[in-house]
Amino acid sequence: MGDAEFIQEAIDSLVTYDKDKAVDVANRAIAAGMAPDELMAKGFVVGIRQLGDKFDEGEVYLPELMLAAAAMEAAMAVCNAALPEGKSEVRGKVVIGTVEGDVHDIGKAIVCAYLRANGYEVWDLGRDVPVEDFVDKAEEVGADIIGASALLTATMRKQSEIVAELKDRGIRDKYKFVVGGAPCTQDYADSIGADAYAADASDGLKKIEELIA
Amino acid sequence: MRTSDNHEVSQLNELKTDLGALLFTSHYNLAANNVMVEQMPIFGGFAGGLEETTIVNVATHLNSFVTFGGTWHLDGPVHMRWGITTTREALAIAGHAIMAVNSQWPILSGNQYYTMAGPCTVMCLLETAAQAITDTSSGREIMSGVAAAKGVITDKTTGLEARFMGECAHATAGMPTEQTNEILDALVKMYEGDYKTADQGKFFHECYDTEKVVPTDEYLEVYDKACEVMKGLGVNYPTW
Repeated sequence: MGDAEFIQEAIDSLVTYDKDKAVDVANRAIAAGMAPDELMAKGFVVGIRQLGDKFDEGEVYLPELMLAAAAMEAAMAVCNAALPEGKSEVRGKVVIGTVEGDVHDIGKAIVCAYLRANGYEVWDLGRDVPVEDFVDKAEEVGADIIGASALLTATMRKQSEIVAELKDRGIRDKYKFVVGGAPCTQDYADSIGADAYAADASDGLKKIEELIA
Repeated sequence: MRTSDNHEVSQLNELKTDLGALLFTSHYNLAANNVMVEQMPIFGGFAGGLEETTIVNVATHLNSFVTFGGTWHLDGPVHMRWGITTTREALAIAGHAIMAVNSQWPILSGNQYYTMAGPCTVMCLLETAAQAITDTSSGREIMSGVAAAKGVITDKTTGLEARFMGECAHATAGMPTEQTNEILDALVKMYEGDYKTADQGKFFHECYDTEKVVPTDEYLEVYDKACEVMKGLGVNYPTW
């Protein structure tokens, strides 16, 4: 089987959110001598983006997206293991959570799925996360991005507190800070000194790609 | 608070709870409060599509009474992409779920209203109308609205949206489902292509004379336009 066939199989495995198929094609392609980074870039990444488009158009829903993210992570693990030392395809490290006092997390779950599916290493802190925990985790893992989600006007002020915490510790410039959630707007993000505002998961991915580039 | 007031506790998506909610529930039940158990199943979310989310919606009704000892259930199926309850899919879920619930259990259920457009826009009122007609036609007991402009902008809600909600409900009460389905199909088509560009409307103080607490002439004209649209669809209320 040639590279073109492996690439198409890789695309198909993600579009059908089939983890077993994704792992299988990754193993077979690499065993056949295909470059793992090429398989990722032309196969799996293309497939996950096609599925992401379907999600944006309402043709598939969150369960399918999360299954695809799991398939992508599994495929990435196989491909990264086959790469030379230090050439991992992790595109960036993201620490993300829903702020303290807020338990809405479905939007954040979608963002995590998108990010993992697109090669980012993600630490999902969950819901009701204290301000300090965002910063502590970012420091611990050497994150590139801190993301904070809030769905309530009553809890969104915690996002500005994260900025304040970073400044208090003298590490504001070490991280890019992205905010999201229904009450957030670009004006609001600018007013609290966030680096970006994500209107939805696709926008979040785009903004993070721009910030890390 | 008054003894007739409601105390709210929310379920988590989907069909989950946590210790915080159970503590709320315990407190409310010990205090013999009226307990309103709220949940907004998400179309396109963890449950998936239309059929799955409708099933989850029925289950959340049961959950309110079985797990939380609720007095009544407050619903609000919401579209994951748009974050509103007035999309075609959200209305379908709400309508089917409450008809199923009402066929089996004598419980009280309300529905929440989150529109894309904001106050002082025809679109906001048409969205409100669509949900009011759906809720009335499908047997919902309580209407809880309206959170205009998705309910996320401070001061972007007024009493006129709620008034329209009530008038449309009264105007369609008793209509056969076949007739309301036709009205809804035509009505939803009028706004569902405009979610991305929907006008977020005006703040309360721009919609009302805040000293006299009466709507502005501008908003009354908008209201009249919405009434004319509804009359064109065969929905009429005595004061329109």
